[in-house]
Amino acid sequence: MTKSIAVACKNIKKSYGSDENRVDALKPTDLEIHTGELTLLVGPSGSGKTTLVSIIATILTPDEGDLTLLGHSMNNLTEVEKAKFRSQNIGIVFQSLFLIPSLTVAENVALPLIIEGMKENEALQKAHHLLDKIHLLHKAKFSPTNLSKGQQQRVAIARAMINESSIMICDEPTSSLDHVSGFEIMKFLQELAKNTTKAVLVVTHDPRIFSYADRIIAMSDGEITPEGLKNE
Amino acid sequence: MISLAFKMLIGNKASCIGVIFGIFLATLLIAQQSAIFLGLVDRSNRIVTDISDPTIWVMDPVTESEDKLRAIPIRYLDLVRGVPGVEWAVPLSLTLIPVVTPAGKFDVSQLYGVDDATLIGAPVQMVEGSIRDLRREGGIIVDSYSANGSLAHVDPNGTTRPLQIGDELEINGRRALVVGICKVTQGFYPQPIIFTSLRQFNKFSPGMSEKVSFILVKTKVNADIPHVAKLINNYSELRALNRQEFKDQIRNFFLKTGILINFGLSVLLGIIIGFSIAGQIFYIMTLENTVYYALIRAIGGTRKMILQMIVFQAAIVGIIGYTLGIGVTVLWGLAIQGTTLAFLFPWQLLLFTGAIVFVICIFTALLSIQKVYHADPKMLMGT
Repeated sequence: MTKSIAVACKNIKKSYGSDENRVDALKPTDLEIHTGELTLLVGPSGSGKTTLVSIIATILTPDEGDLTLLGHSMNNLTEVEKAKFRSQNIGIVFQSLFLIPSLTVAENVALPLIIEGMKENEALQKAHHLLDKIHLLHKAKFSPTNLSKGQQQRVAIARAMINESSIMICDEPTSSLDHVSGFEIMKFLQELAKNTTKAVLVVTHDPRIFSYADRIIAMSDGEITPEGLKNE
Repeated sequence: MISLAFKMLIGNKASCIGVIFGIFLATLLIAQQSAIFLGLVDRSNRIVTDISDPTIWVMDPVTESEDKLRAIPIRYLDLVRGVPGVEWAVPLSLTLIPVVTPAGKFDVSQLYGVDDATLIGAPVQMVEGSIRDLRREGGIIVDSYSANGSLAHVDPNGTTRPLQIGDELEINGRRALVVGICKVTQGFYPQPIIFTSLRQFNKFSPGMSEKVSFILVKTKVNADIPHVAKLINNYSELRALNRQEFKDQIRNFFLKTGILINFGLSVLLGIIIGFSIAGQIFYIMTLENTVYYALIRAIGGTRKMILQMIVFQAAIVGIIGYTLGIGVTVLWGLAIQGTTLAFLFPWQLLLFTGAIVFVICIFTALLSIQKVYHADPKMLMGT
């Protein structure tokens, strides 16, 4: 399968605060992430992982540098244009999942499609199809609060997958799981990258899952360490 | 998105019910208190409403209502009759007078003395008997509320039955014979309303023999009513008012009692309850959902979408709360129909209450929107 560049960061930089309170959360960074690969972004707390991944997810705007996703420059897009791009091309699995408890599992999965404007019935049908693939169809009408942590994680991944986005970003997907569930999720993400040519970017500081990565990018003090890049 | 907004609203049952209850309570207080107030204002006009024949009411300049009146000398009657444009003019006397039942029950009644010849001013709606019997010696007609209530007949064995034709009462120490039972609009005070002829009125209330309370005037067809009233004013130095002017004068007198402030405070209380309960609970509910609105933005939703969701949620709770509030108010109105309690619910009150509830909902939604509008997907990252 041909691999292409899904994410290209060139000289991306982000600071918070001003003058003497200024903190360089992300020093000028260059990075490429490819389709069909499971890339891990690792590093200690405060190393700039979340800032970098937020910029790649188009949730945060960099102070400087160029961000190109799937060949499209993000630099001059408005917030509404970015939201539209996100809804069509980026799936995000947040660390706290943020499954809406008042909606059913199927409605949570269908949410990105409904936001995109698809008819609810059609979106739910797609959600059921996807839930069937991840063996959770029998939980479709449940509230997410009635699911185990591992099942909730899979629902959140399904929500990120449903719009068939080419880039999937997972923030600490194994942080609240036991090692068996954690490995299951990582295996699932690994297969997802291989079988669907998605670029899967996982933010983690869990060394147990490093073996699943096609590539590991290590960060420290707001920059990618040379050691990390060597892991390619 | 609208159905998702609805599900997010009802997903938090306690908060949703709380907001609806707040708006329901506000609607109930505003609509019900206003309806009672309007009912009382309407009752204050009962003399003009029930006696509908005259086009002009003539009275002493200090008279403001049937509760604050000074009698005028009867000699003015002929003067008024001589004013150009007057078709007929008849006297009407009115006084508060003690009435005692054979069982010894005491009350103070409003006694009306109507013109002996024409019986203009006598009740229009008779339950029993005929107004012509007012000409019988001691003949009186009693309103049905009192006939069934304070003036009801009590047998020696203690059983009570409504007053009926042939029963006797004692008015100001004189014997009175019930010749009819009528239906009249209840007054502001829960007093018996009794009608008699002017001749007998003067016997029951001897001090009034050379005086009358009002002169009722019917103007000729095509006569200019304001002009005729002006002529009466000029000729007699009395006050002549058309029906609407007299109604307005009574209403203004009524409002001077401070009742508007009392009911206004109740309505204000309803508004405060609406703003505080509904606004606050809705705001808290929205705050609880802030991360989910941020999520919606993170996965492609726009601020406009979130705004629509919140406005829709505020509209839903507003409509349900308003409908329940109006429903209970109307049920209350139906339940007290036929009793002495005042209640008037014109369609304008529906709009008035609706407008206030609308403002409460707008406030409620704005309070939440200004918070959620800035819900940023950034808050979801790294947490």
